[in-house]
Amino acid sequence: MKTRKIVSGILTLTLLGASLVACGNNNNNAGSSASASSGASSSASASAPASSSKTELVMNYRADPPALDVSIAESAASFTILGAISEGLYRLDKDLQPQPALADGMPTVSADGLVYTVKLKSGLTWANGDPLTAKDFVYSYKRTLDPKTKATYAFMVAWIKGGNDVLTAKDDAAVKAAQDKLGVVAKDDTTLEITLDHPVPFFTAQLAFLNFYPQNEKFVSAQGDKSGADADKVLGAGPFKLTKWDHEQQLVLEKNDKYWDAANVKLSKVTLNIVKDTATGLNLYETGATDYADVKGDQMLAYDGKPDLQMKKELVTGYLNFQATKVPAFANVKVRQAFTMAIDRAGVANLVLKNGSVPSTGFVPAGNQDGNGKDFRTVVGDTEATFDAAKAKQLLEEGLKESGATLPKLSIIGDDTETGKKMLEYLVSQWKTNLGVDVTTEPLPHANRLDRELSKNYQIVSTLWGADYNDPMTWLDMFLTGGSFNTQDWSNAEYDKLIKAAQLETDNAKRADEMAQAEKILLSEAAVTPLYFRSSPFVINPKLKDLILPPYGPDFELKWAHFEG
Amino acid sequence: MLKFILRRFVYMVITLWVVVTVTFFLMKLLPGNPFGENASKLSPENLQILREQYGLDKPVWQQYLKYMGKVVQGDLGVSYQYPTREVVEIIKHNFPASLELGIESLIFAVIIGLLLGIFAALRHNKAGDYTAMLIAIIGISVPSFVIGPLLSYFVGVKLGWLPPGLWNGPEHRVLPALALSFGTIAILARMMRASMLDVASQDYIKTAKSKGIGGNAIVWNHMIRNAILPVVTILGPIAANVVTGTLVVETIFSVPGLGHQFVQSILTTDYTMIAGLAIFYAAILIFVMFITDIAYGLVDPRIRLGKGR
Repeated sequence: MKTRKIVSGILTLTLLGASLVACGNNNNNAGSSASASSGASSSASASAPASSSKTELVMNYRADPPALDVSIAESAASFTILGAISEGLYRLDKDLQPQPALADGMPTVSADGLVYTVKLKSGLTWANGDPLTAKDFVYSYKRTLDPKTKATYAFMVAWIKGGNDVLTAKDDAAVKAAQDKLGVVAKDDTTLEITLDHPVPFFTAQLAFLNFYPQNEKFVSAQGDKSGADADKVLGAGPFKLTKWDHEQQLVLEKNDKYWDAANVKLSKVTLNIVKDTATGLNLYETGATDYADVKGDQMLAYDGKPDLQMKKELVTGYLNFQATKVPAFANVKVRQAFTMAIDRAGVANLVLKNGSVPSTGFVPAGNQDGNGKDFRTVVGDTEATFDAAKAKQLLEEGLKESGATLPKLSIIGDDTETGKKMLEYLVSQWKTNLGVDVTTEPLPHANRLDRELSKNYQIVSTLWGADYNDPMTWLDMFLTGGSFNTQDWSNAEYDKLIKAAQLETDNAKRADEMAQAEKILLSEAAVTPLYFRSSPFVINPKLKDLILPPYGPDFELKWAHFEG
Repeated sequence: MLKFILRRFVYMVITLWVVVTVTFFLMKLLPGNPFGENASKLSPENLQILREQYGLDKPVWQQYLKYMGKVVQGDLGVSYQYPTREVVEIIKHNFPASLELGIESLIFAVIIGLLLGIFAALRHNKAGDYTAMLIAIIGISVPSFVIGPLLSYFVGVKLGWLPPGLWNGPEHRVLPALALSFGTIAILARMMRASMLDVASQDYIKTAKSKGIGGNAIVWNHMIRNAILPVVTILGPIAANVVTGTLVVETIFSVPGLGHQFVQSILTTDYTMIAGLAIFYAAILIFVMFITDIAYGLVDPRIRLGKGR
């Protein structure tokens, strides 16, 4: 009994102690975060009509960036933040046109389209005051291509002559040797010469992409494995500096006074709060604690017709693949056409997605340029068969007769998200109603779906693709015979010929035409079944102007953003 | 006693080893690869180079031995999804928020839960009792992913009393801690009520009453003091559960804790992170159980001597 009392006494004390510690913690945190919360409240009060010169922006952001390192960045989160704290030779404006950034004017391109000579602005510095020279670009590209860096987006930098030799070099000596032969040279401190392996007509715009940013060798190599891991391990030369990075909680960007175009950067501070739940994000927006929030599905209805709601049209196409080796019937064109024409794509956009996405009219999404200065979709027009249930039924009958195959028990795989599951249900009901074919749904976790898709272990898959760069080739080279994303095992000699010709073509008009013809073949054969071109909705403080929402790569472009009124 | 503690310690280590081993082999069965979605953009040669660098080209048993060797030294490896950050670092950075949230919710739960339980016991079989227990039942049956958004919206937006999310000042702590505490409140209230009723029927209470001691003094000095003991003993395991079970509430209120990392690591097949967090959480739970075992052993010699059954 006595021990029992002592023990209970000790436990009670422990509990008390724990609660005291907790209170202590609480106070400490309160102290350390006082500045942050006062920041939030001051921005909230600044949004009152009285003050017109609000220069601090607070945004919700859905994810903590994995690493803010130019070489290894691969997510939209990293692109977005690095785009604010760093810069390339060019920066894309709101019309996606490259504007000289660190470069002093547009590049000089050789007649064969292979050699780009770029003059840098003079007197450029990094945010820490170090001079920024052409050598920083050479270092950056070599580092990205070094297999040890493990850069997933290195394939774009490998467009530079000799790039692939670096990427596939077996040991350190081979890497070094290949790097020395790489087609990028700093002629002097302000002249950079890049020689490409093959012509890339959109290369100037590509120089605005993150993987072509410069890196400060002294700074980066001093960080070792930790480059880009924390606020003090990131160095840029962009409009903003990263002054605080509290992982999974908050990133704070402040204006970089050493930036060459600092006069045109109006915001003094941008706070990004990591908010993963969109409902909470909108609650914060409603209370004025943020100027920007993501919106999902039905949440959009609450903002219908309000100026806060903005749509970002993305270069993303949602589509279906029909695996022809697993299901021999899908090797028949008419069967694939039947399954395509049996889907009313308007329903996909209006009933399933309800996020501003539009029914597809081809594979390359609207807004994607054609590599010849025009919008691919506008030039090529609709290439996808329209919804026609009667025709679909007839095609299915003919197709099955032609191929002599029968339809096995079919199933469709897709993501097991809320929208993903709705999508599968909708498609299955369309095929049941319009074709009389039973298909079962098989929703899977994302990584699982991707794995099944890439290993061709499926019958029908609902998937999507986003542009890596703004050119039809990012969409069309996927379906070359044997390509790793050609998981449906489709093959067409004429298509292969057109794409391979376009890859080497130096005449942009001819190249665009070859790709247009290729897409027509792709769609007329129903090799893929595009469903929608994706949009993402946001709510944005109506007073915030010139925040660019680019359709691919970064989520937003902050440089020119400012408050009005 | 020392022998008992030693034996428990060995059990603890064995349990931990089993958890690590099972987790390690189970996660190798996860579909997909740990290099993320964009890995599909890599050429096969480069993917092979990556696999070699991470030692994923070796047989699983060799990977296991190498991993165990590192774990013993306290090195949980580098995360795949955050290639510049070590798992230990991520735990150190994000766990304090989970811990704080857990402790705060526990404080809410203890205060509210005990009060409800005491109140219900004193109003035994009256309206007050039923009301308190109804609240407790609602608390235990409505999950935090329902309570969380409701609190965030009504208290945060409609009433505007507290921030609907984020984790900055003390005012940001209240709603998530409250949302997380509902289930625990219910458990504690029911337990306290039962314990109080048990005590109320004891002879010494009757004695106290017959001595003419006032109602409040009996409740405070005799009933609560005795009734609280069994409740206090379950606080250890409850605390461990609360601290490790903050995932949903963290996501809803944007708390920069560790819970989200756990789910994210599984979705992205981040091997080192999955294993590291499993080990960490298992270690907490097992350690608390170890302490509880020892405490029970101290209190009850039958357990200590293994003659309990």
